[in-house]
Amino acid sequence: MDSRIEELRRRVDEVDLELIRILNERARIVQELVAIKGEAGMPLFDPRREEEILRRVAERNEGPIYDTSMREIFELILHRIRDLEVQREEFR
Amino acid sequence: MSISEKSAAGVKTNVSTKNGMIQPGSFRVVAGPCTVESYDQFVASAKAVKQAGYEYVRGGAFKPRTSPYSFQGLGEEGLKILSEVSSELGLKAVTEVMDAEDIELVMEHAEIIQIGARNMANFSLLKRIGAAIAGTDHGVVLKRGFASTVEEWLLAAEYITKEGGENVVLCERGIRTFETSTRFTLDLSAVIVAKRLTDLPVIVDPSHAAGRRDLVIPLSKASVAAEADGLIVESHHEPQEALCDAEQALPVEGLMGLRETLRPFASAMGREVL
Repeated sequence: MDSRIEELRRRVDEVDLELIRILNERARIVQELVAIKGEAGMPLFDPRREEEILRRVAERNEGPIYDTSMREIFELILHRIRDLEVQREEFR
Repeated sequence: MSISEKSAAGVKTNVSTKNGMIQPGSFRVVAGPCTVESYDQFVASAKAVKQAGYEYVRGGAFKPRTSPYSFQGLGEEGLKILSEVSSELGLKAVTEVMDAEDIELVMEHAEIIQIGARNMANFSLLKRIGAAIAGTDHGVVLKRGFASTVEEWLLAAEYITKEGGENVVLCERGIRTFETSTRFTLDLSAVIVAKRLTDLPVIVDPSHAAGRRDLVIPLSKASVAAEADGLIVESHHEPQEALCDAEQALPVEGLMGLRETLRPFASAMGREVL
């Protein structure tokens, strides 16, 4: 029993590490994108594109996480990465 | 200049609206009484705005009052006084619309439509206004709901721009907090955040935020420093007699001194007070 829990926890930890790596990869791609948008004079706030992303997230979600929960998780990811960009541009 | 330095996410003193309300490198002051109470009252208050050198006068005809028994504004009669006086004095008028049925009427009498904090999330009104002002020089001052996040405020503006409305100016007017020494809490960080995220100009209403006139000038100075593009302040020729928000209106001498008080702060931010 205990060893089975240990094993599952180890797998959860591995997935978390992978999530961290992937989220930072996403942030770096957004950084490149923001630089290009800045050059083109485009604002960071783009609710149309955001909605596209969130809709696709829900569509592609196969569960067991609810579509609405997945949307919430991604909304937070999108906004936190966007916040990072707002601050990065200011203090660089 | 590197890409990041000139990114859209940086500090912007160069935002503008097509109708000239907000101009690059400027700090726009809109002043006037909370409400159009009578011809004599409004002309006296508007003359003070003109004498102080400002180009935009505010004055409410439709008033969103907390109590249905409070003075609700003069309605169409108030709009007529507003447009008559402002055109006599060569001022542009800013006034609130509360009901979608009144949009065209308000547009006949005022250049700038104000959407109050209580209507910020009235999405059908936002859409109707966006469609009504599309292709015109009419502008909108969109006040932030006093319980709304910056995200919600920006999305409210998007309802207007999506319908073709241009000349949208955001207005921070204080949010509800636990603090009771001021009427609301002026959220200057929201001004900066909104400006980092969008190219929409952001102005500040220190009068409604504070609810007391002694804070209006200090908060106005702070607004300049917080990268705001302008102010909308309440002023009255006889504040003690005002039918609405008397305790927050600047008297004539306060309004006269505002420009000189703001000048060094605006200058430090690379702006000229208009």
